Amino acid sequence: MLYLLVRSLEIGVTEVQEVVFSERSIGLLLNSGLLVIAVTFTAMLIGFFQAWLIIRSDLPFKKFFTFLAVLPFAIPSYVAALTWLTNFPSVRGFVPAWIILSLLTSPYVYLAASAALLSQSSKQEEVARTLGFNAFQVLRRITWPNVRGAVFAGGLISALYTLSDFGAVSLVKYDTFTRAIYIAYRSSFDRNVAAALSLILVIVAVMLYLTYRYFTNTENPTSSSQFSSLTKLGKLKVPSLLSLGILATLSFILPLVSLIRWQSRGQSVADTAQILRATINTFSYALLGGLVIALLSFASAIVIGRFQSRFTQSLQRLLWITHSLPGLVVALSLIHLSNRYFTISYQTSFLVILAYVILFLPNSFAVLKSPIEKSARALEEVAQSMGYTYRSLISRLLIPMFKKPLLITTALATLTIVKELPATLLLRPTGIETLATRLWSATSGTEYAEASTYALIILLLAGIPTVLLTLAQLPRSSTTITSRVSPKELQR
Amino acid sequence: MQKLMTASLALVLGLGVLAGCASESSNNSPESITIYSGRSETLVAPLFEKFSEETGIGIEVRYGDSADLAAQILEEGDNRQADVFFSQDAGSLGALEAENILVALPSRITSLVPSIYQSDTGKWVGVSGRARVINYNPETVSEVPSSVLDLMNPVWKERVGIAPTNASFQAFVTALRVLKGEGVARDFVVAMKENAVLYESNAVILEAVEAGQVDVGLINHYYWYAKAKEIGTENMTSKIAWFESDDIGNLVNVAGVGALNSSESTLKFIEWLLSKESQQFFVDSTFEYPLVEGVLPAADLPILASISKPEIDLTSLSSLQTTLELLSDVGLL
Repeated sequence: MLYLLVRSLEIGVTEVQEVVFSERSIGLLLNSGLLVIAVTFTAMLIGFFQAWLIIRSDLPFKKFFTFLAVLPFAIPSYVAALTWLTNFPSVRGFVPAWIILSLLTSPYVYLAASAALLSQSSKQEEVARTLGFNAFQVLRRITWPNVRGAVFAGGLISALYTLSDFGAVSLVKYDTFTRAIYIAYRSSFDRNVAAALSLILVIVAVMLYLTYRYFTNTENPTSSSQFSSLTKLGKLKVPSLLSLGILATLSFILPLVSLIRWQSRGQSVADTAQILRATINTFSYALLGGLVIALLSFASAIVIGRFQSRFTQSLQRLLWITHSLPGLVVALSLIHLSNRYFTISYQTSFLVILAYVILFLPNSFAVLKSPIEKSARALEEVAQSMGYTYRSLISRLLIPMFKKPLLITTALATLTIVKELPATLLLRPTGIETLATRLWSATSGTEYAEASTYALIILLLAGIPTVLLTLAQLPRSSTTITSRVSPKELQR
Repeated sequence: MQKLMTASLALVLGLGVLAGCASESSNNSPESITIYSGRSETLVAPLFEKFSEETGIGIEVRYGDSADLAAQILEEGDNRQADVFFSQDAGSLGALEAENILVALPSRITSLVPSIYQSDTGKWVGVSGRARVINYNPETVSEVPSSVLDLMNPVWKERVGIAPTNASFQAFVTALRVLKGEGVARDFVVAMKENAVLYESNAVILEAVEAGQVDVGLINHYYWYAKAKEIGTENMTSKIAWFESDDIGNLVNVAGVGALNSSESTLKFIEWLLSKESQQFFVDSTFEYPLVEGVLPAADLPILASISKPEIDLTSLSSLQTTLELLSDVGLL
C-alpha cells in the first residue's frame, strides 16, 4: 500500500489522474468488473448447488462428489487455462476466463455453504414441508436465507481471486487490471503506471470487501442441533448426478486428462535432476512458508483475540487490506522496497517467504480467529493461577487445544504456496527454480510434455493438503471441524 | 513443552532445508558472474557450462522473458545483481541503453560484429541474427505476396497466422511504426485483427501452417529449418520465402548481449560468445545467423548479406511501450 502511494506520488498527482481516468483504465475497469460479477455469480450458483445436493439431498456417492467438488482447489489457474487452450485453441477472451475462474473458485463457495448447511438444523425445513411447501419453496424461503451469509462470503473470495488472477487471464488474453499491470511493468518505461494501476486495483478490492461487510452485517442465528432429514430427489436424481458429473469433468477431470495426454506430445523431456530440484524447492518453500504462516497467525489470533484494543483492531483491518493485494503487486512492491531500503534481502529466500506471509497470513488468521475467540479464557486464568508459566501455558494448553485448526491453516498455506506463481517468479534467488516457475517457462515455448510433468507434480503436491482438508470437511465429522472452518479462511 | 520443542525443531529443520535449496548451478569457483538470460535454458545452458569448464569462471543464471528481465534490472537501480544481460531481442537491450544502465564495450569486442548489428554507442552487440520470413503452404498459396503489407487485403481473411504476444512479432510492428509511421502501423494491425488467426508462438504458427489450418504465417526463419532437420526437409508441407527487396517483412533482428560492468570475467564471457566456437554452436543448434566473420550459416540458408532487409537502427526498436499500447488498443493483446 505504502509503496503504491509513494510510487504514485513520485510521478505526481496529475499524471496519476491521467492514468486513473484514462479511457483505457475505464475500459479495464469495465472488463475486470464484468468478469468479477459473472464469475462470482456463477461460482455462488455452482457452489451452493453442489453443497445443497451433497448435504441436503439423498444423492448417492456423496463422499466421491465431495472430493470432486473440492479438488479444483489443487489446480492453479494458469494450468486450467493452458488445458483449455489446447482443447479449444480458438476460443479466447471473456468466455474461457469466465468458465475457468468460475469452476476454480466454486470450491470456496461450496466449502462455505456446506459448512453453513451442516451447522444448521434442517428442522425448519421439515416443518415447512409438513406445511405443504414444495421442495423449491423450502429451498428458497427457508434454506437460502439461512446460508446466504456463507454463500456471499464464499462469493467474496471468488471475487477477490478473480480480481487478482494473473495466470488464467494472461493465457486466454482477457484484458483485466492485473494483466495490464504486468504489461505496463514489463514494457520497462512504465513502472510508475503499473503502480498507479495497482492502486486502483487495491481500492476496488477494498470496496468489494466493504460491500460484503455491509451485506452480511448480521450474523445468522445458528442452532447446534445436528438432526437432519434429507430431501428426496426422486426423478431429479439422474439429472442431478449428471450435472455434478459434468461439473467435475470440466473442472478437474478434463485438465487432468489433457495433462496426461501431453506427456506423449512432442519430444521435450524434462530432465530428471531438474524435476527433482524443482520439487525439493517447491516443497521446502511451501512447508517452511506454511509453518511460518501458521505460527504467525496463531500468535496474532491470540494477541488480537485476547487483548482487545484500538491497536489490535487496526492490526486486524490491516491484515484484511493486504489480503486484497494480488501476488504480482506484492512482488513488485517488495522488489522496489528491498532494492531501496534493504538491499541485502533482495533475491533471497527470506523475501520470498515474506511475500507468502503478506499474501496468505490473513487466510490463516481467519481460520484460527473464531475458535480462539470462542474458547473459554477462564481455562487459561485457572492455569495461570495454578502457577503455569507463559511458556508451559502455550505448549500444554493452547497448542493442544487448537491442534486441528493449526493443522488446517498449515495445510491451507502449504497448498496455496505450491500453486503461487508471480511472487515466486519475481523474487526467487537467481538459480532457484520451483515447479511453478519451471512450468511457466516451459509453457512460453511449446514444450508441452515438459510442462505437463511439472503441472502433474504441482497437482499431486497441492492435492495432498486438499484431500486432508476435504476429510476434515466430510459430513460425518461435522461436529468437530466444519463449524470451525469459516469461509474466509479458504481464500485464494 | 514438548510440542513447543517439536515446533521449533520443525522450523529449524525447515530453515535448514531452505538454506540447502537446490540451486541450478553449483559454483564453488572464486570467480563467478551472474547472467540474466532472456534466451531459454534448454538452448543456452550447455553453452554456459562449456564456458565454465573452459575458463573456470562460475556462472549463475536467471532465466526469464527478455522484457521482464530488463524491467527487473531497471527496478534494481544501484543494487545490481546481473553482470551480463543476454537478450532475445534488440529492443530490451535498447531500453537498458536508453536508461544508461549498460557500459560501453571495448573495441576488441565491438569490432567483431558488423556495425548494423550493434548499438551506435557500442553498449551492446548482437550475438546471433534472425530473419523474419513468410511461412506458406504451397498448395493453397501459388504466389507469395510481394510485401507483408499485402496481407492487409481482405482476400487473406482468416488465412494468416501471427503471434502478437511474441517479442519477435512485436519488434516487427515496432519497426513498421518507426519506418512507415504510426498510421500505416495502425492500419496494418487493424487489418490483422480481421485477417489473422492468433497463436502463442512462432513454433505453433509453423505447426498450424504445416497442418493446413492457416495458409501463411509470419515467423522467424530458424523455426522452419529446425523443424526440417527434425522431420526431414522432404517431409515439410510448408515453405518459407522472403518478401520483395527492402520490405519491412524481411526485418533482421538480433539476440544480443550487454554488460552491466566492465570486469574482466564479464568481458571475457561476451568475447567468448562471439568466438568462432560459440557462433558455430548457434549455427548448429538453432539455425540462427552467425554474426562474426569466418563462420558460415547452416547449409541451405541464404547468406545474411544477401537478404534484402529494410534499413533500420535496431536500437530504435526499444519503443516497445507504444507498440504494446497499439496492439492492446486494437485488441490483439
